[in-house]
Amino acid sequence: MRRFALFFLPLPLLATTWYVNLGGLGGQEDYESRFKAQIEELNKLTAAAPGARVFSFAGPALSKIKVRDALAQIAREAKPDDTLVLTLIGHGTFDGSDYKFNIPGPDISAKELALWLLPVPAKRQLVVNTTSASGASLADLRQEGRTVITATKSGTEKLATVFARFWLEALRDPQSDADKNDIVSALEAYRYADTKTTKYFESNQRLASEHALIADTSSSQGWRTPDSTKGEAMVAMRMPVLVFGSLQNAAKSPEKQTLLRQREELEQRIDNLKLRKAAMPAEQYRLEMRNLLLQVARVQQELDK
Amino acid sequence: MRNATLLGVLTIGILLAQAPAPKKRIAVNSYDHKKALSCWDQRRAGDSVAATKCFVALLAEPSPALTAEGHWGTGRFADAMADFEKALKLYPDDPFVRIRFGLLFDARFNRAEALKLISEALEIDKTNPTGMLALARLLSRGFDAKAMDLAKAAAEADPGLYEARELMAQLALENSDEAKAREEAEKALAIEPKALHAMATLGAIELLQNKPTHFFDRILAIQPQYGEAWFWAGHYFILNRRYEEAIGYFRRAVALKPDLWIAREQLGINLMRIGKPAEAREQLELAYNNQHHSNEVVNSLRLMDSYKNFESFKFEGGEVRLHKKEANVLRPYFAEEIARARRTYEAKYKMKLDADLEVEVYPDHEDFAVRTLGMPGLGATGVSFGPVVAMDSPSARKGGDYHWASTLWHELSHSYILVMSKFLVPRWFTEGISVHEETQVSSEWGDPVESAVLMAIKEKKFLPVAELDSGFVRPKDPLQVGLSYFQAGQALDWIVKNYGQDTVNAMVLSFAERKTTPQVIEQHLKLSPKEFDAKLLDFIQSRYGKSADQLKEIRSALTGAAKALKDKDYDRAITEARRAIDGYPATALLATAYETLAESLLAKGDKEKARLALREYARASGREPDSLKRLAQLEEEGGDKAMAAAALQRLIYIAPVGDEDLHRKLGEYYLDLKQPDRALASFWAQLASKPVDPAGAYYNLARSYVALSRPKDAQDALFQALELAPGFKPAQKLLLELETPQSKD
Repeated sequence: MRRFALFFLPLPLLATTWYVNLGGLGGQEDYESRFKAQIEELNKLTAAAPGARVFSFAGPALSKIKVRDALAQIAREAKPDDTLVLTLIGHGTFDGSDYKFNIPGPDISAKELALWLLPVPAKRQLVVNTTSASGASLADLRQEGRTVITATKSGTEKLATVFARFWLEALRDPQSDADKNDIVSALEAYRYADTKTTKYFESNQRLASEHALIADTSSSQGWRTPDSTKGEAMVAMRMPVLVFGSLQNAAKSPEKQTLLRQREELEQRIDNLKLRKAAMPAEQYRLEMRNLLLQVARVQQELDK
Repeated sequence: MRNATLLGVLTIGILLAQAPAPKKRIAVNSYDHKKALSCWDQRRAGDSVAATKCFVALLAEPSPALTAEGHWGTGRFADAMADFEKALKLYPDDPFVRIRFGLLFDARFNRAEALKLISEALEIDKTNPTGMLALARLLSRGFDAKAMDLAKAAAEADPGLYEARELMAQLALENSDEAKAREEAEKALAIEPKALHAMATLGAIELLQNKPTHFFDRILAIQPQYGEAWFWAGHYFILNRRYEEAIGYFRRAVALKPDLWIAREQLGINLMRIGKPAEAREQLELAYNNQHHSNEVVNSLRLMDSYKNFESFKFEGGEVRLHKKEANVLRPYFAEEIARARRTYEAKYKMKLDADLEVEVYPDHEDFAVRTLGMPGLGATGVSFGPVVAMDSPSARKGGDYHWASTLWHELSHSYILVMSKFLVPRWFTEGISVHEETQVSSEWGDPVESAVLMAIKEKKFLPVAELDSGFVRPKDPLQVGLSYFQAGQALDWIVKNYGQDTVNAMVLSFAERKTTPQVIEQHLKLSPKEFDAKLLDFIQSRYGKSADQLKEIRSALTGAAKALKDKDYDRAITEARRAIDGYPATALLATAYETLAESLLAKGDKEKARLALREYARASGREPDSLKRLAQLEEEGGDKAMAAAALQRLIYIAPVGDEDLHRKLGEYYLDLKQPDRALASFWAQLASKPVDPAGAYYNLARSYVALSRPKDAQDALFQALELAPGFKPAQKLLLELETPQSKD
């Protein structure tokens, strides 16, 4: 049950999504090539998203100043309705006090990143830290309304992670869009990547050396498996990471916006019905749900014409 | 048991602890060790009141070596250990103290300390017969071949040490050498007419032969509470996989001696084996609550506590118990294979089992090991206790390392052959049939021949068939177990090829009549065991001789191919890989060569030849999931979805758990191939894999139901999909199609 309530939130579809893709130092040839390939894929995926503006720095081209300047530029140009997605791929370290992202020259600490993100006006912000020890960055980066995803649960999970691989997979695999609304939310992508990461360790008969977390409030310690029915990760649920083109195009037509609103209203009724499910006879629930689903299907049929 | 090193390993530590204290040649210090010996003698003689008085008296002795014995005899083990520690300091050069202390450790389930102390005693006195005997007993429990040598050395060093002869008799019978067992037991009795363990071994020999015996009456006439006699009978029957009878003997043991906790332990473990967990728990808890905290008891109780995480599914003629976390994925595959194996074996062996088959599947290998032996660390992947089979789940092993269906068929074959032979079939024959059966289901199943076996072929390291059982029970080195499986499997391949299945069945029935391996071979194959050995060797040579002879060249070619691939010299990699492949029969090396070949061809962009190479890889029992998925991809790209599905279908037998993509892709292939029933099974497996996209999985189910003309089920599945994802367009479209009046059922 997660939906972009178009009546209640500014439509994200016409706004800009600012992607900042950072690929850190590998240290060894294997990691250098892996991080390079991952950043290239991330650039490709994000550049193809509607309304995307991509800043990407990787390997020798990445420096503290460049990141700071890019975020400063976004802070100047972004609108409140915009979205910011900052992704860190590479190695991270934690010295017991500070998390640092390993880059050429001086490393970037989580505290510095948090400081640079502060003036960005975009209300929807997502930081995806896929590095080792990234759990240690959560406390500094979390903020009300900002979703923070880390590949590890703490700074003590120091081994190179595989989470980035499955995060990228989530962005290219349509299956990650679990509710099939043509928008991959942060929560959907997190669930996808976390599930795949867990299965990766299980199928390789290895003890899991990373446990991802997601947080979206200023006080959250991060959830491993957020339960939406308990109100967990509600911001992440509405945080779009990628919007597919068809929806973007549909939103541009005024006639179709009317249909979209109809669909949205029906979907809201479906959500409400689900909330009442436990308190009503199964047959009645099923009948009402069936009618609503059919109505949504017919509206969609019109939208697709 | 498949790929097992040992079967029926039993802990007999308690018996060892209660064994007589050494009587001979003990270095004398400032204490009279005979005082302790006399207490233990009284206990052994069954006079527990006098023995306890004697032990209590020892507590007043000035020497800690004796007070330790007093504490031990009265069950105060911590105090005994503390006093032995003091005695060690007082008498550092006395091997007796170290041996006794070691035996106390063994009695308290600390084998490592026991071994250390007894080894130290033997460093002080290398030829100490008591030390050698104690060490032999410890090693015998690990089925270590050195145990016999040590026992023999002890017996020779002290001709009056009848316990050494008793141990030699025990070891011989454990090795199915009844003649030697009898000889040594009689030697023990010649030294000590009241050698009860020797009598128990002689009695067990007769029981194993289904003959009446007077030995147990004789034992009980000497010592009416000597439950150990029946314990030993049970022990030997377990080694011969005659579990039900063994349980009967353990019951007799505890009836005679209710505090014989080792017997309760074994009773509990074997009740577990035959699928009676409630009574098993009762016995194990009784032992545990009486300070019998052996690893076997503790592990077994822990495992039983975990049973709440398992679910049982019954079906016609059988039941499968699966862990809840993977039950929904594995259930249909196991049910199908068990039913298929049952049909096949009933027709082939011309018999039906009276009992239902029960298959237990453990995702944690150590749980399976505990289920089997009471101890972790088992190398096997499956074991049959008659109609009850326990085995590793595919998720217990790394994908590509384990073919679960091959193991299942192997173990189920045992289930039939054990029952058919009244549990009298020799180990080599039943293992041979099981190994043979694996490749009868598919030539891709079974374990391809490893390099170590090829080397053994070259060096002609095979055991004569008449001694082949010892290769399983008491291998001289770790490789001998694998080699014995191979040899037994080849033997059955050869027999079936030259004489047919009916002869195999007739041989099993002859074993059921207590005929020996030489007798059965002579009767049914009209060959002497020596002739059989020679013909078998020729057969193996004809199959694998060339590979064995050229192993060095094959390895060199493989190394060259791998290096060339790493150096991106693809032409050379292809040449070297082909050199390793050409003309050699299936071995484990062959799959590696095909994999390297395919990788090199792909690097050169030759997908078509890579596809053909990977097909051969799969045929050569190549099981790496990534390689088989690559084959499926190449088959799909080549337009052959049937072959693509076949490539992925292999993975169902290798790594079906935790891979939703495998099931989804397979389902899609089957839908395209107009095989909706198989597609449906695959999509159910996808759904059971906790997919990242459950709405998509329900939609796939709906598509399969539509193809199967089951619109009502399709609507239900669509309802589930759309409830999760109301905006799911393909599902909406299908729902609208089904809602049209002509679509309604």
